[in-house]
Amino acid sequence: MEESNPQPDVEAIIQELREGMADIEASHPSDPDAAVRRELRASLRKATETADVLGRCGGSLRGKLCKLLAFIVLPVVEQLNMHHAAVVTALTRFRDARPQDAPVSDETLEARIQKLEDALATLEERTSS
Amino acid sequence: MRVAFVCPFFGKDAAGGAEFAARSVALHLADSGVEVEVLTTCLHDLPHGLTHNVHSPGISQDGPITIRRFMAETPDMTPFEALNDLIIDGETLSPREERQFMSRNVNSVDLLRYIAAHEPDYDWFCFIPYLFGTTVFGARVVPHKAIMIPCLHDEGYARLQLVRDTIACVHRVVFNAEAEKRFANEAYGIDEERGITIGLGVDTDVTFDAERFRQRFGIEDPFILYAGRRDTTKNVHTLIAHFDRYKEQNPGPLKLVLMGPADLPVADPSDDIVDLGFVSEQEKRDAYAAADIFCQPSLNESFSYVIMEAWLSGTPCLVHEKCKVTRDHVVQSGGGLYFDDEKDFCGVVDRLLKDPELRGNMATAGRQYVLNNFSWERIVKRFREEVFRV
Repeated sequence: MEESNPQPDVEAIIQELREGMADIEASHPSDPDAAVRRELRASLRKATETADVLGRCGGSLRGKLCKLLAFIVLPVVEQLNMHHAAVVTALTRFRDARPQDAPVSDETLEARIQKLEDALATLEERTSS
Repeated sequence: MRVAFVCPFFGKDAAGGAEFAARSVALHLADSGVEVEVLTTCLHDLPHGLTHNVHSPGISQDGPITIRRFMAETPDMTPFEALNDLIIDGETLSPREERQFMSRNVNSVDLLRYIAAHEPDYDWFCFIPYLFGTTVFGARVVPHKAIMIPCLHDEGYARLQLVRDTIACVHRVVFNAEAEKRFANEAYGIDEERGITIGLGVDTDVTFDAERFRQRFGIEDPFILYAGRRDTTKNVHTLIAHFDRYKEQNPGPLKLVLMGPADLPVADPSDDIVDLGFVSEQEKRDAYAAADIFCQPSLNESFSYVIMEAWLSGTPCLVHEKCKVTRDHVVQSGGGLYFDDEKDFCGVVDRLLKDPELRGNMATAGRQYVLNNFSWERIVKRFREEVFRV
């Protein structure tokens, strides 16, 4: 070895670790929906940045928005934990109807956007209560 | 010489880049004659959870490596998610909050006691990666023998005071890339003596057959290749957008071939985009050889194995200017070019496609860069001589 050093007190380090583990008091206000809001904000920001890509998908402006949300926002929301089961269920239905190979009709897009709006309203209601 | 790798998770099936790096380095060091042990917990990997002990405690073997597993602590995780969110959001935690967080981020009291009791039995303890309790509390038990391989990113975790204190106390810090070292120097002020950039090892004894790839997948046209996770986290949507614009401006047979896991991040890819999904390792190597250009558009790579693999197979690389690690690779090697925006991309693709000799020279330079810096023989030699100072 290059040098000899006194070894730190492992029991003092373990004591610090145990105190940290025993401390469950929240010093920040509990906010179970913070992660959802943060992910949605990040997703929407990402969606804006990639609008250039999805703008080439064709169809109406709302159609583009629909595809954008289906491919960027929904996977993120689905990765969150199950505190938001209702939202996840609604968004899953929305995603299941996402465009695959063929262009979709405006009616279908309208229905999908409505489902998304319902889901976001549910989320808004939960996070504001 | 006897070395212990200390990590929160370990195993052939453990997911994660740091986990893959730890096992690869440990195995190659062991093959070179270093007596390597791994001190880890009974957890499987991050996706399986921070408190779910899957493995049994005790001793097992992974080839030449002896693994000692210790039960991970299973504290009440109530405060963890909220604190984790704050860190990700870039908030500054109080010392108490940092302790709350880190004491729930993979710890083992049994592991700490083992390290303390058996400190004389080992020459060095390599802690990898930086952000878990096994490193933050473990390195403090044996700071004079602690080598940290942090696998740092510019993120909230890297700004925790506990992380700063740990990096300040260890004997030496080993980085995977010069860009990571620059970040560490800016964030912590690590001096030249303590900080060493080694990089990761690459298997350089590879075989490939471009014609086999073209026949197997029926691709005769020239193409740009991407290999890796095909999603927005890897910036693949940007590559597709830039490629589409290039094709608008330059109609012709050029294709973009994509391979790897995940879902394609666009709804209706054009006919010029060939999406192969998941392919075998050999098919991937054949594809590198068949490609005219390999593109790595990711903005956040800590090393990028695929660039090294493409160079070894004789293909020049195109990377994103905003990823400091990959940009360093192409600048230092001369093995490719970088782009920032659509105009850049179209310009460099056009330049490369029209000049086969330039592509060949770049590929040769890239291959030499890999052989000179990242062969396992080289990596092991540098660990032995510069990190362990044998």
